[in-house]
Amino acid sequence: MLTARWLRDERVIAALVQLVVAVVVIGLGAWLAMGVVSDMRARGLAPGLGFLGQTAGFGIGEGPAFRSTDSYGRALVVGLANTLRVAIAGIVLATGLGFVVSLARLSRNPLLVGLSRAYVDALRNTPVSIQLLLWIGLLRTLPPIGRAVTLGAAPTAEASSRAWVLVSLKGAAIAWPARLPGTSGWVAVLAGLIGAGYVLRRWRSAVRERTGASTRHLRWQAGLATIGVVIAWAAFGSPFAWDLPRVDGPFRYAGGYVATPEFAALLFGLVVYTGAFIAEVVRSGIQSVGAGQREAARALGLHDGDVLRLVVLPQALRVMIPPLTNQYLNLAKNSSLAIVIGYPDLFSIGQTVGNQTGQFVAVVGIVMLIYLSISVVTSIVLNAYGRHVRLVER
Amino acid sequence: MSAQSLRLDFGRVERAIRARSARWWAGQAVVTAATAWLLWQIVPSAAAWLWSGADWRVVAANLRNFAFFRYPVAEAWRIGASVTVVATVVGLAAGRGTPLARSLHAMLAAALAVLVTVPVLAEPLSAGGSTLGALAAAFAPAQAWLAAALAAGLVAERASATALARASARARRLVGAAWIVALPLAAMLLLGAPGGVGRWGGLLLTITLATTAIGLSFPVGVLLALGRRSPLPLVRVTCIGFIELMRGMPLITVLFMASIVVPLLLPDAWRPEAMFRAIVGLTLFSAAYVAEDVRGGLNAIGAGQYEAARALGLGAASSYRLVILPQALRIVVPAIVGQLIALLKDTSLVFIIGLLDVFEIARSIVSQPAYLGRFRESLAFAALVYFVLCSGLARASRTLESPEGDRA
Repeated sequence: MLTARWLRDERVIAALVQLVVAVVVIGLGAWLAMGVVSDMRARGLAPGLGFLGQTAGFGIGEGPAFRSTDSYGRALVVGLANTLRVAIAGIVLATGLGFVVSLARLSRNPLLVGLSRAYVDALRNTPVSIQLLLWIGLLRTLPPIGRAVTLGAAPTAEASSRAWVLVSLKGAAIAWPARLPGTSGWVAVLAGLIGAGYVLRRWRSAVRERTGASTRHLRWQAGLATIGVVIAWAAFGSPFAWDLPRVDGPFRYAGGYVATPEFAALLFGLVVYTGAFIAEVVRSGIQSVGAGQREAARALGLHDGDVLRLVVLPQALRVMIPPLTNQYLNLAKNSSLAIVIGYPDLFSIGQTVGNQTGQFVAVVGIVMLIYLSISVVTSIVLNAYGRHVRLVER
Repeated sequence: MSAQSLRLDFGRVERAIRARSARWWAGQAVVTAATAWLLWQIVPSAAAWLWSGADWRVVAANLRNFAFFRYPVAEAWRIGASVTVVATVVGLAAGRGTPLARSLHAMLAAALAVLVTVPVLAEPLSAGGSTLGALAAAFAPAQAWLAAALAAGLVAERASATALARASARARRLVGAAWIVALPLAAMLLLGAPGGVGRWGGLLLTITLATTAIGLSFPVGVLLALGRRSPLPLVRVTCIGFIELMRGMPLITVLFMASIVVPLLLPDAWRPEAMFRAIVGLTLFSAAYVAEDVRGGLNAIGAGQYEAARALGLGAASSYRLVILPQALRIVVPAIVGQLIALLKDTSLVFIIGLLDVFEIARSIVSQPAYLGRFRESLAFAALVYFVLCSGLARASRTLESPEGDRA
């Protein structure tokens, strides 16, 4: 049986298997390409990405300025900006919320534990799409802009309707810091203070290593900060002014930072959903640190806050980074659910462009590639950070 | 610290401990008060809304849409029969003592028992003027089938617990055969209705999509995980590429792409129904995540197991099939259940290709003229459906991770 013998050679089998995989992959790709091209020909569409330069003809009510005379390509860029805006803000806020909730779950107060547990269970076990619909639905029951809910009406003379926070059907307008002539001077002073604080800390730590004297970080830094602030105030005056929003006519706000209801609902929905998952990640991270570490730290005289900050969290962080990365990626990907509530993100604008040009495969392909790049970049950054905090084994 | 401060001053220590303890109690009091205040803000108004503020007739009138949408009413017995078949086989498996089947059986029986008794509550619930009674009454048509499924499950569990020796190979084969008969039987029952799967919707569609996709993505995921650690570079690169591609993209784009591309790959004559396109998208997406779970399981198996299998003279394929995979897959079961939970929630995205699952039903019924603006009731009900399914499965998989679960 000559054939049988060479067929049993592992190298031959390996080569054959690889050949089959290559043929299947290339064949599928070619089949798909042919299908796409013949479909486009049947619908009279030109292949290629030329359509991205054509005039879009629709408006986008959110994010960087966009006129209906701008191109499809620019529409996708605006969508990407909107996606990044909600994803980055969402990641920061969800991390904060997750940490707070996980500490609440680990507290020894039964009422607080019960409440945070109910929050985590309810949010984790229902689809985020339903949650988003609920939030936007609730925001749409707010009063119209003429009867905006006002928080902290400002006692300024010029316009009676200015306030710190205005909330209505048109979204929320929040007081926002505005630049003054002295702002850049303040920024420079603050940067200098941070640098000086770092040097001071190094110096005090060196002193402690040498003499054993207490570092008194707080006292030194408070002194430094006071001096810096006094000097800056004398030189540049107030660092910034509050730009208070007001209702401007029947349709819009003027001044302040304005969040549309769609942006607010999407951001809030993603934050409370992902926050529940992050709370579980942080909790299991903290619980992975042995009780002996906590007891040892307490025996050294550290109080609860320092035990957590100096001993538990640095060790928990190593365990938490990979699942935390996954949650950040999930948040970024879930931001594509913006389409449920009408926030113009990358996917939703991609779908509009696809509908108008008929170039679904090309547009969705581009959108997929962009999401893929966002995921890859996020993973690279967080993996680098993970290596940075990893325990250095002896 | 200087030397003299090391002498213990017990009075100082005691004062410090007392002060710290007083601070602790003060902190607890503040936290408790704040939490209680928060609960007081939420709970009474939520309860009042549930009881009297909400108009549940929007859900009561659409309960059939929530359950199976336009599946022919005359054929609804098929759904009842397949639930009964599944409850029976889960009961059989539970009786043999498989931990996952036991907790699934308990959850299923509890859920069926609650649903059977719901219509009985209609009178008392509507007594106080609450529309919850209307909602309870809407469950009545399904009552007989739910009771049948409950009874079948309980009887099957008792029968298999008494008749089958737990650990015997015969019992395992019997239960395995029961699964192999039951699942296609349930599928055939459901597919037998006229009108095709285009009429499926609601919970029927949600559960069909999630279970089919997880069932199909399991073998694909195992193959991908094995391919990812293959010594052949081309196989490895293809598998890694596929896995990372899928994991890097939102499901909604994958579903959208699948719904465009799948018809292009097939001749016009068998243009697949939207449900099958959704299953393709969900399966490909989920397989990448399953592959990573399986990879974790494979990594947990010590190198000694491979070497021992090879030393016994087993080839690569047989050592995986007989030695490695049986151990690795057992470790992976909780992660796969987690994947099923994620998939159940993710199926709500099939609205993008025009399917009406629980989510999309909840979203569209509030545009019925009679129920405009009743989105709270509709969404709350849909959320409850997902919550019961997902937290039930989560609870079932938690029993697997507990020490008692490790025995079987």
